Amino acid sequence: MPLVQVQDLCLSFSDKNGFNRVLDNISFEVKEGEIISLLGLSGAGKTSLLRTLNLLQIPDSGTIEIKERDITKLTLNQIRNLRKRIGVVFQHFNLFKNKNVFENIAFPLRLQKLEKKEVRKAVEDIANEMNIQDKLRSYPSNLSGGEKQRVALARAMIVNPDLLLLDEPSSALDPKTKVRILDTVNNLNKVHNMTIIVVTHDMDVVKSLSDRVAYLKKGKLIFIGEPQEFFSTMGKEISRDFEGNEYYHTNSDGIQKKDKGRQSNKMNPKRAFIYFWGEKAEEPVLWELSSRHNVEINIISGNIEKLKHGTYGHLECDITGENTHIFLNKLEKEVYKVDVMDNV
Amino acid sequence: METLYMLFFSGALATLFGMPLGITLYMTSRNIKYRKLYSALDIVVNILRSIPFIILVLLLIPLTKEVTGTIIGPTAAVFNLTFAAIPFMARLVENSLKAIPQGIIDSSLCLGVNNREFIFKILIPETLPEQVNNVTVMLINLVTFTAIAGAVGAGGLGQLAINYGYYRFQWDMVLYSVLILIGMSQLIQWSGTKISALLKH
Repeated sequence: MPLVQVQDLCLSFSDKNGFNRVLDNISFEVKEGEIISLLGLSGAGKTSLLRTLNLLQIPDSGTIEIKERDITKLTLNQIRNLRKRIGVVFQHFNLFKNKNVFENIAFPLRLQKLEKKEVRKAVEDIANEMNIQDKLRSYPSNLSGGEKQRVALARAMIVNPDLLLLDEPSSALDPKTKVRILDTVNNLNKVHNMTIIVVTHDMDVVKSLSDRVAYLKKGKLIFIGEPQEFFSTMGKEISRDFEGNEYYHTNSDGIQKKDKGRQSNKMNPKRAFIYFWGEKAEEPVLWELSSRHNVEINIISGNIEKLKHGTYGHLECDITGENTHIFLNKLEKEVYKVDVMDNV
Repeated sequence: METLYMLFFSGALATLFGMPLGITLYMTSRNIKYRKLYSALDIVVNILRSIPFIILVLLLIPLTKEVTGTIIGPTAAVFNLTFAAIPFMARLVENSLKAIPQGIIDSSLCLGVNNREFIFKILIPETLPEQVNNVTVMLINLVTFTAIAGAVGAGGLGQLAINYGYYRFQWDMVLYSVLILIGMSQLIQWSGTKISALLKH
């Protein structure tokens, strides 16, 4: 059974501008021990979705089952107990400014009225794991962004929750700190088999954390699956929306025109989008095949990057030669995926 | 001495009742279920705050007599001062609470606090320095009010200034009284700021 099962979830706000549907029939599930990224642009509904998962936001309709219990039907008291089992780290950390780091982290345990000794031990353990053990007497106003993030993570993790929700964990951090925090999150996932849902619009977060990606657009869940599948099917769109990159896949006219003279003598080239995944991404597959079948490859764009579970690459190129067809067939068996456009 | 007596007791009582009232205002304003209660409290506080103190003292004469057994002297004045300061204090407290970022509230809810824990472990500790400032502001307001109360028979520095200074043209008495009042206000403000700064992180 999945840990979290969301079924036909709808949420809307109405204000003076009228009725605004924020979540539109969302269904998905989260398995125990996986990290799932909720990706989307601002206003896509990803934070709202996160907030409905611990009922900070009550959905209009639909069900959310956590450990096979529908949480939308709980009483206020049960909701409080549920929330104690779900760790949340907010975009701006939201630490208590008049409590020091120790008290911030200890707060959830104080609510459980644990013995002082136990509290001390638990706080020290998690502080060591988060590498903030020498900051316990400091107050939040004296911490850096990365340290605040660690304290917030420690506060969420101290009760060893069933589920950890992270809202934009990278947006308030500089690039170097971001990498370290992402490592920490991956570690929590590994060491505690922690199930984590992370809301983000940052591709680096998606790449380094996700076991699976869920893509939200205008309140609809339009994709959910493994990252390599996500990048190979949604590549164009995310490149345009998240990296502000209009060049990729669209603006290669310049290159074509320049090459026209040479190419017009031969057969029509085929435009191919080739996606690599895993070991194949690091082997010279393309080169071997192209020389065996005697086709000419004109590379237009491409890149390669490390995802959590392996290397992913994509390549956009024009292929010319008599054996283009055979070449593409062979290639399809070797790499993750090939898309071909006919009329270049 | 009478001024200090009035200040101390009315200050303490106003804090004691004003704080819970302010917290009640805040808590009821946040929950749609208590909208009506909030509106009622809100209107009462506004009405009490809009009556000038000297008029309030007159209006309160029957009640003062009922509660303290007299309508003159410092004890009667404490009742009047407290009555005037409670809504003022409540409003100050409510405003400080309103300034708590929504994020802190979300965080607390996510940690599963109940109302009691929310009030005593979040609201009060998180706004403590501001609340100390509020008490300071209220006390200084009360210094002025004691002088007004002095004019209608409460005793203390205000009465001194008016009886000896204004009615007998002993302007030096007015000057001394005013200087002492200023000194008191300064001292209160200075200590308030110090304490607040100590509590702030």
